[in-house]
Amino acid sequence: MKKLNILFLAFVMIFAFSCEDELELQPSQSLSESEALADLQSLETALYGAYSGLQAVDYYGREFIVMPEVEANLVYLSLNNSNRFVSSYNYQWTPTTGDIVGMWNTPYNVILRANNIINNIDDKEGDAALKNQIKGEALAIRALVHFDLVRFFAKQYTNSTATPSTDLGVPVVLEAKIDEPVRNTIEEVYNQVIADLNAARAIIGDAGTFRFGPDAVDALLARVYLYKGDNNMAVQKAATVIGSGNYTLADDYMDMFAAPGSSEEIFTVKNETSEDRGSDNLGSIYNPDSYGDIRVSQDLIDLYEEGDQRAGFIYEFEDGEMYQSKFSEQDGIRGLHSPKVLRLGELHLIRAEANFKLGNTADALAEINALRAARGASELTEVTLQTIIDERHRELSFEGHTTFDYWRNNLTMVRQQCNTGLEVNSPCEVTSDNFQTVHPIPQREMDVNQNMVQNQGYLQ
Amino acid sequence: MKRLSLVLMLAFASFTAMVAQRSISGTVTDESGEALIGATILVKGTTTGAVTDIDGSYTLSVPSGSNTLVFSYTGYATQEIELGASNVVDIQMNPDAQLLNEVVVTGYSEIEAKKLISSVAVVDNKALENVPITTVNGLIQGRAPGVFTTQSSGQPGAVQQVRVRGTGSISAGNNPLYVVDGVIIESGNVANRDGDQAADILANLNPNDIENVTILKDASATALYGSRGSNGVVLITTKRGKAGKTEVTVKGQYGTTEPLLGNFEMMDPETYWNYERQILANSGFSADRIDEIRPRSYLDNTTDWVDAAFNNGSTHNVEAQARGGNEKTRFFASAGYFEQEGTLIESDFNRISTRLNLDHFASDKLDFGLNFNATYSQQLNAVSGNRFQSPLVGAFINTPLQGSVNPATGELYTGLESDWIGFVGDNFLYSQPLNYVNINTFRLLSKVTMNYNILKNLRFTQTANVDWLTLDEKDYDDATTNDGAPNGGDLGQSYSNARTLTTQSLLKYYTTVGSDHNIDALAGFEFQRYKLEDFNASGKGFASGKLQTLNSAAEANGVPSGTITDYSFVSVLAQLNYNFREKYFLSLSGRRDGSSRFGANNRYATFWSVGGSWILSSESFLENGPFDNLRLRASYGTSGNAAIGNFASLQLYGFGAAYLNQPGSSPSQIGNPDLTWEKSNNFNIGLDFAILNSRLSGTVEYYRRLSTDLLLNVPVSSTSGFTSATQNIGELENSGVEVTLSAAPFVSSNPGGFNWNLDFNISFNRNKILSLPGGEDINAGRQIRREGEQFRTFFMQKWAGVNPADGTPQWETAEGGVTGSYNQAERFIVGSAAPDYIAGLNNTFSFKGMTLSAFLYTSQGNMIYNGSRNFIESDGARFGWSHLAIAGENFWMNPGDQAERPQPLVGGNNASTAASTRYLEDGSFIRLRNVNLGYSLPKSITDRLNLGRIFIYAQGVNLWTQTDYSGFDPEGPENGDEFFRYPVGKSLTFGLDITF
Repeated sequence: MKKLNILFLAFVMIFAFSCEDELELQPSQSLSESEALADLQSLETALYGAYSGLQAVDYYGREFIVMPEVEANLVYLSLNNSNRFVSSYNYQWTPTTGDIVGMWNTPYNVILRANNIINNIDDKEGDAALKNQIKGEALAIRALVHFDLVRFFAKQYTNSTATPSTDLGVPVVLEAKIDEPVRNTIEEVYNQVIADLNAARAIIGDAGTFRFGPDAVDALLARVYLYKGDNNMAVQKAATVIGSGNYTLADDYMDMFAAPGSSEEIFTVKNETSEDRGSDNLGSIYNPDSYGDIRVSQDLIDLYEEGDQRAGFIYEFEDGEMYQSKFSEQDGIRGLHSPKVLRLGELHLIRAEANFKLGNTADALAEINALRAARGASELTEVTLQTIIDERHRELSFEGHTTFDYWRNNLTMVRQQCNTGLEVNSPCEVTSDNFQTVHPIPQREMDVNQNMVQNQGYLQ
Repeated sequence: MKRLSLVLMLAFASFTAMVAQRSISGTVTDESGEALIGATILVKGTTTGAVTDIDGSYTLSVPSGSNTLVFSYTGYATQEIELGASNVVDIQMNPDAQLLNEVVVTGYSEIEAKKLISSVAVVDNKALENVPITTVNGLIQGRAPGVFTTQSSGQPGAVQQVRVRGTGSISAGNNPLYVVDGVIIESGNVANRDGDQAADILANLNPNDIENVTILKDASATALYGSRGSNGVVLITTKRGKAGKTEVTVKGQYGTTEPLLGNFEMMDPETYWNYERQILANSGFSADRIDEIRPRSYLDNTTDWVDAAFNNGSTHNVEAQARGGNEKTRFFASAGYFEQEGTLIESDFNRISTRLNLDHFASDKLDFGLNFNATYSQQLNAVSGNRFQSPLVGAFINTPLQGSVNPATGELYTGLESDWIGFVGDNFLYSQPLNYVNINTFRLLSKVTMNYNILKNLRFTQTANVDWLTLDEKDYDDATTNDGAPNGGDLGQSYSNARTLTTQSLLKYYTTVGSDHNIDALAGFEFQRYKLEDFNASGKGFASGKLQTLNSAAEANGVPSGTITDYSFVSVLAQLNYNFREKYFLSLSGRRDGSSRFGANNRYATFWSVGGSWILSSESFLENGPFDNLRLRASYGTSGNAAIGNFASLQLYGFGAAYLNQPGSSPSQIGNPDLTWEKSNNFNIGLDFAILNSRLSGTVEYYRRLSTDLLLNVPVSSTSGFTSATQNIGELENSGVEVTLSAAPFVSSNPGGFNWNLDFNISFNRNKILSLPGGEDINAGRQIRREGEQFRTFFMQKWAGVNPADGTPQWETAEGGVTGSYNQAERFIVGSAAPDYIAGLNNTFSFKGMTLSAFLYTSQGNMIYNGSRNFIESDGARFGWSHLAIAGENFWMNPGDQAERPQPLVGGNNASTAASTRYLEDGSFIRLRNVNLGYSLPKSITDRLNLGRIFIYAQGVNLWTQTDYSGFDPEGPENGDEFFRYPVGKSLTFGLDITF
């Protein structure tokens, strides 16, 4: 019996000492940050992760393409809706509105992804060209996101109510850390965006339409300069891209939207068929066989003349209302779309607008007419700011530019088709000095960040 | 009464042969004269004893020198009988409200109730048996003071929320630890395809197999569970065999359930049609246009969607139990089939359960035990509440102006037709029978125990337990439905396997020093390892709705996924109990835990407790006082909360962020190597008393639980790329008073006469946040975490009614004024989701073989944010959806109107539906939770039928509810946030138990 007792005790002791290793468990589907950013190969994986962040529904997946449109006059929100984008259409949003909160959180998450690459790559061994490429793309992504944030959450640089050197933009975040940053001024944000793009331009190479390359960086710079009111630089950068010869206006405007990768595209966020999000696909909010909540306003239809290819997406559905099919399908998947973030058509319009503002009216007119000719529209005889903006509406309809075009040009957004009985009730006119041309900083951020200052017109 | 250990020995050890001097026999009956089966008779001062058989008879050999017999039976007062001349001793036992000598399971050991120092609540099988509810959590509601249970979903088999003495943690888990027959088991939800209606793996335990449920509440009891005990411990003890004639019970039960939709009433089609036309008119629509949008013809084909979505459910239960054995081997075996048809269409649950509990006494030194429980359950899930296509939400949002049947074809609309006017292109009456979420769960709980008495008073126990859970889920969307159409039909399947291996080694020792000092001690080692593996695959493109396997799919729907997660705990524990003359008691406990969940810098922690009690009624100065029992108890100690993510301490990158079909990585978690257990310090003081021959007894307890190092998902500025980070910061206090009273207002002196028993308990819990990082508030949606306030404090804009001038909404400003702009409205603290008190009252009447019991449960003072009402009382914001009947009442029409609701406009009226106190309501209620009427057929009849016992009963659940809450059920989620839940039901059940 004694033996048995000892055996029991030994059994206990063996268990007590053999379990130590059992407490060292590692997760099976994640890596620690140091492993995940260990070398150039893993940093490239992280770069894909950063691009992937752009695809989010809260960003280029849908919201950032749709909100600047639904807050304007080229589309309307049907009476029969799924309650999406209602507060955008009728200007009843609050600092807790989900779309607005998402448009803050998601872009900053993409900035973190980019920062972790930028700040961890310099000491890595390996092919210098690859290293430059990864870093250059990460810098370009960081610039794009800061620019989008400042457009969305701050006054437009050229808006008459804005003083860019003192008015608040958004926090510029250049490294991963948890703190409570202050809002940089609008000018500081623009300076950082331009600095990042210039730094990227110096080291980046071509990696195809679906990643940032030298042309995409220049194209984004052209847009940033236009928004900044630096028209000389906007013309110069747009000319660089247009003159590169790498892009040609599509023979058929509608074909361009059938599949990603057309001859006009400079940078497109590509969604693969495996990234089908069903009813959350961009097109689903427009397609009558899905939500179909957002329909085409007479305001836009009236801008098109007979023969303009760009009106081809607009069609009458069996309910008698007008819908659009620009994003209706990709690779046979309903509503799937790869947003064309930068494309040649916009570059022509940027150069035309900048030239017009510089007083080069003839150049502007010629450029607009060249674009119109390619799209099957008749020649204009004179050019004004209004005709340029109208042309932007025709060319870039539904692509997420419209409110920005109004507010940065100090134009009042007027809904000619307004409260006619088809739409959700809404204001018919919003002036460019209205406080709601700027979205509120999300309440969540106000609550956690003591240094955050709310935009004018919203409760401090 | 001698040493505790003797009782333990009695429970485990075989009876050694003694020199019999005298044979005593007799019968033991209860207060009504019915035979008590399984009553224990012990020769005082020895381990010699016997157990009564099915007729209540016993025979016992009493050694020379002994002349006192001790009769005991759970729930009855123990009697000591001096032996006289007669060799026949018949005893009638009387119920003991005080349960003084009941053995209470405390997890690693058992203890006599009398010697208990800690705060525990026991719910015995009388309250559990035959109630037509799937999980044990649903049964303990209101029965145990300090235990708050809420059934937030009526989905058969859904997870229930249980809180012991308030919410002790902000970000880590708040569920108690579940222990079945001494072994910590997994609880909650393992399903991964569906969220809040998910299957509770505890539903795999048959409530009729349970002997009792004990809830450990204070540190003195929970310290032995260390890092996992701070939310309380629910100990479930299953039935075991008893020596004697084999007793077979067959149970049959049938019941019906009607959905409880409370005060939630929808507009009828005519009212709805008028209301929507009014909205259009208010919005400036022309009469012609109104006729176009809402033509009269819409009233030709209407549907009552609520009526269509709900019907009467049913429950069936058939099972057989057998228990018996001899001095060497005892068993309890059961097999049962339970089936519940939900009140929502296409939802049900069924369970096949089997159990074998076996005890074998090989010698007076060695014995073995086996607990074997295998269960298979199938749940058909009424697709979760947050989806428009589910009947649950569809019933309340689909416009009544939409017919369900297409008059052109006579067939159900699919919802995809162009003349379908509902904004969700789905008719759940068509899609729900085709689209399903099935969750099948197999669970095996198997435990083998070996006990060896190394010395007479030193016992070694080795236990090995396997908890094996496999769960397969199938989620199908037919190609002809809204959900399935985009993909031409899709099918998702997932398979999870969770296994937990637990080993326990325990040493128990007792001794008596002199005649006054009684000591017993426990030391143990425990190891637990858990691993969950799952995989998930989806396919799309099905040629026919009849092909519902993945290899019939045209292509994969996304990349198949799979995850693995695991954790481990390594622990040592010890307890020392001392008493002096069974009058003064002292208990010391400790446990040291190590866990893989915590940061490398803080992997181990120690928890301890000290407790004492004093039986005042045993003192000479109270000997002749009014007290049959008077006892003071107090304890203090620590326990922990380890319920955080398995790898929460690590800084991680995840790999779910592909781009261009290349794998992509992204930061998934902020690391914190210092992350460790939450600790809670618990103080408990209690007074137990019994007077009037124990006809009135009760307990009053006060407790204070201070949780420190709270694991907080601290919200951080999103500019960091994260929205929260897990840190050990903050302090939270729960304090409260619990009162339990038991009374026997009427006790008949005749067997079988009229008896009335009354049990009442009430619990007050106050929850307060003592400190937060930097003293800063943490906003959690419509709630706020603020120092000095309750954890579940609502924080939102105050509704200030409708502006009589123009019918627009108004809210209060910081200065106390009103504003018409939500963006200018201030947020205020406006109440808490935690109740002021909860209480339960049970009355039992018995007469002859008849018993009637009625159990009332109440929760008072809690607020509910009625997010469902917010959806469908929307002042036109959700035009074309369904509307609550009240939405059409008392809304603003003309300047000067003092209206309750703003003028309804298409698209809404100035954000009038944004979160505010407009939708915050008092959730207090009183509910007749359970009524049970039972009848045991007289012995004269059962004898003629040659049966042991025939018991017939009728049972009603939730028969009556009193509440002002406007939603369908005030028994909402613990966080006070209501959003379209599966309503609970009102049920009536009939059953029959036959014992052979």
